[in-house]
Amino acid sequence: MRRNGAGRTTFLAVLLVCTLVFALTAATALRVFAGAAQTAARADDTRRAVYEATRAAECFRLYADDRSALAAELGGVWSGDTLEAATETGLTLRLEAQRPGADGRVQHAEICVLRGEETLFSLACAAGCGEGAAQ
Amino acid sequence: MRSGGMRAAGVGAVLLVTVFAVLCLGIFAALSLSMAKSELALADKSAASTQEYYAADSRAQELAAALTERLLQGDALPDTLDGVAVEPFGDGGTGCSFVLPCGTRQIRVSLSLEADGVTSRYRLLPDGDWAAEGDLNVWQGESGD
Repeated sequence: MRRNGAGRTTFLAVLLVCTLVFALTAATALRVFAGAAQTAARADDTRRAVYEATRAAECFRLYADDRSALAAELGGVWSGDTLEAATETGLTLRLEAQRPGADGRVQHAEICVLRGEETLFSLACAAGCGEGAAQ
Repeated sequence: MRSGGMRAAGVGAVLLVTVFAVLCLGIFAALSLSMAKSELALADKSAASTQEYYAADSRAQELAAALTERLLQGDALPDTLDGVAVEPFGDGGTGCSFVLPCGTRQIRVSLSLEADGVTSRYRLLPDGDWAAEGDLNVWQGESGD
């Protein structure tokens, strides 16, 4: 009887230790899963932001001289020199056009892609609009 | 004895299944994290490359605009403009080209004066000479004869 009691205690202790180890391992694995999901979401956001910014930059190069066409193409509205649009991918696109300098040869734009107030990606691009510059 | 043996066997099976489940969970978690990290690294590289390209492109637009004006006004073309070598071509300086580095690539811009203005040509090329791999014994199709 005494041997049975001691054996049962040892068995329960081992079972408890194993359960703790498994629980800790499983919890760590779940935390790693959560981290992986966050990292994947960040990568996805970056990819979307790059896509939207590239699209806006190419539209700007095409329609730098025609602000209404640019707004229509990007689906946004102008507020002064800033065009803001909600993208299909759930992000916000902000394009700030800088008026051409005294020579008026090249127009510049700062393009930002945001999620809420956080800037995910930004780039600066330019579009030539010199006289006689046939592309 | 019999019931004790059955109970031990039951506990052993549960233990094995638990070990297997936890092991699977750990392995899949590690694989997911590794894949997500490599995806993020690739996305960051793509973002940096895009920024680099548009920065170089903006500079190319500025230089092209300045050179276009010179070509249209018939001014002499400079040897360098903002530290970039300008190579004239054509008779009497009717065209020029310049190359801007863009990461592992380069933007080559050619401008030529035409009757109705200046035509520009943009090319994004790999940096350095590219040589086709010739060592692979690839089937080239049936010979024509």
